[in-house]
Amino acid sequence: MSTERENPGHMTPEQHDRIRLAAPAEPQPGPRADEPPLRHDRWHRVVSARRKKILTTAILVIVAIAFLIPFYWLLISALRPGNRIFADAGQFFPTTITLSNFQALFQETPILVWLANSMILAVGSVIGSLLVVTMAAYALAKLNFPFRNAIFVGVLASQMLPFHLLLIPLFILLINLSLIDTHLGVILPALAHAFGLFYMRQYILGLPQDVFDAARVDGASEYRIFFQIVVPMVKPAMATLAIIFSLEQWNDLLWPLIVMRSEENYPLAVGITSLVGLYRSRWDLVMTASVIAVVPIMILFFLMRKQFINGLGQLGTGGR
Amino acid sequence: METITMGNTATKDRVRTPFFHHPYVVAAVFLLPFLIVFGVFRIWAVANAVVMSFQEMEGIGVARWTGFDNYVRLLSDATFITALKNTAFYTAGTLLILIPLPLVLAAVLRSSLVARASAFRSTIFLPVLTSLVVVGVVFSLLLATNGLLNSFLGLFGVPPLRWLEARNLAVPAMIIMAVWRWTGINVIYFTTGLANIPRDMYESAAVDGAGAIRKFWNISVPLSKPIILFVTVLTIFGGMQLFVEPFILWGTGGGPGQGGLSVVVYLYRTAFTSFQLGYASAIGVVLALIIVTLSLVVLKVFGFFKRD
Repeated sequence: MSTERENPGHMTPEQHDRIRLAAPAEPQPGPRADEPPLRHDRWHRVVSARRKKILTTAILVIVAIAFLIPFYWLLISALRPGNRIFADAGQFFPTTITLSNFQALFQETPILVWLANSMILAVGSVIGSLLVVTMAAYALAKLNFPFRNAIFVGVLASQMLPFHLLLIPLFILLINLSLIDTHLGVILPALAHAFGLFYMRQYILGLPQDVFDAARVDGASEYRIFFQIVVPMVKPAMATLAIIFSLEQWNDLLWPLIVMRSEENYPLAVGITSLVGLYRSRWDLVMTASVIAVVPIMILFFLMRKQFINGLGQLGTGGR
Repeated sequence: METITMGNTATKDRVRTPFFHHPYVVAAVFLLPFLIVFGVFRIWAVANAVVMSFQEMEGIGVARWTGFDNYVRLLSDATFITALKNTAFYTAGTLLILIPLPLVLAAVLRSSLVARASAFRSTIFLPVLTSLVVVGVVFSLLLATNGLLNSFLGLFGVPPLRWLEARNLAVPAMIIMAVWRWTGINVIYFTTGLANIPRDMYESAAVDGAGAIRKFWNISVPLSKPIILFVTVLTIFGGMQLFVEPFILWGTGGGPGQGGLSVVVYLYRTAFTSFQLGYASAIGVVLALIIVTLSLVVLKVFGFFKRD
């Protein structure tokens, strides 16, 4: 900063503009001391900016390729003959490619049942959480009642407690409720999603107040206001939360691993884990099942790229 | 303002208002589903976990009070200490990489130095969508002794490393996986944060002759403090609760010489393969205390509690 000021041969763009604006039509009275180096400098800057851009882009292409390699590896390993998957783990290009692993997967594992279970759990937790969370968020944002803020702060503060602490009590509770090995047992404990509540409350607080006032003046009950005004207006927030909830549920392992006991109730994550544990050598099944677990999410991502990135990005700024 | 109108309707219409339209009843109807689920599956469960940590379970539902026995035992449990060390090492490693690297990437991707920045952002983001189970599966191939990473390192003359079979390489292997899995989401967090910094700050810095690196250090980094704080706490939470990766790579065994044993894997093993539910609860409570303390210390150091 100071070095630039002390250097008389170098003008800031602002100063430069001012001079040009001051004397637009007048021809320059001879070559001023600082003009040629400035032009030279700018030309240099343009070239080196382009060069810099090419260089950084090139570096980032390498980074991007590094990030894509595990996906390539997943796919290529699933397509290698079963006995070559580990043997050729260091070969970038496969020698033989086959779909027989997928055939084995469909024959030897209930992969479609696992896929269906994953979908049931994702859809169930999205619908359940959205309903519970949106209702509570509306109450916390727009209704008045005692301890409103205390309840909100309490819910948020409890997020500080890590989930693993709950594993054992919830496991015993589910046994007592006969919910072990059921889809409801997986979904229920995660329904009261504190971040979802926070996000939805912020969103509802941002809705224009006069819509609510007008509806109340017209004598609409809070229930009507909720279903006919709030629900349609919070659809974008619901879409964001639906992505977050379904992704969390689809990719979760620990809780469904504890709840689901029989093979026909496994979601994909648990199913793959059981394959890893059962047959250490059956990497053909593990790799192909992994491909099947990743593909639906990737398709969804490419269909709704903006919503995914914005939605998950908003987690970082607390939904604002 | 809202309070006054609501209060008025409440008193005026008290006689006429049907039960389900009383303001407090309305609030209760909207809130109760959440609060019941929350109360049972969180509050009650946490309280129960604490209670159980002072007990030893002799079968489901039969508990015997043992006072602080579980905690005393924990202090001298060498396996627990190992698991805690591994987990702390892992968390520290992820903090050291997963904050500076994504912050720099986010800044570079926001600058004019890159063509097609959003395509890069999406590419780096893809691993975030991948189930940790699949991450574990793929990296058990990539990090195998005859795997791709070693083939690549071999080009530079590095002898094959036994990433998944050597005690002291288990945690670094998991850090490599974490960098792949989480860089993308942190880039997105930091990008959102950087987008909130007013453009004219950069412009006036440019007028003062600050270069890209100076602008990054003097504007981007300090003004990203709230997001850095958020990501730090999130990384501590995620790191200390490490489970899926070691579980996929080594099962409940903990890997070579317990080098890949995390605290939550040890908790899982204690609870669901040796069925010592009380002792496992004590592990959970201690880990929770560590996580909460660490987070509070971080928040304090960052000056989060200073309101101005």
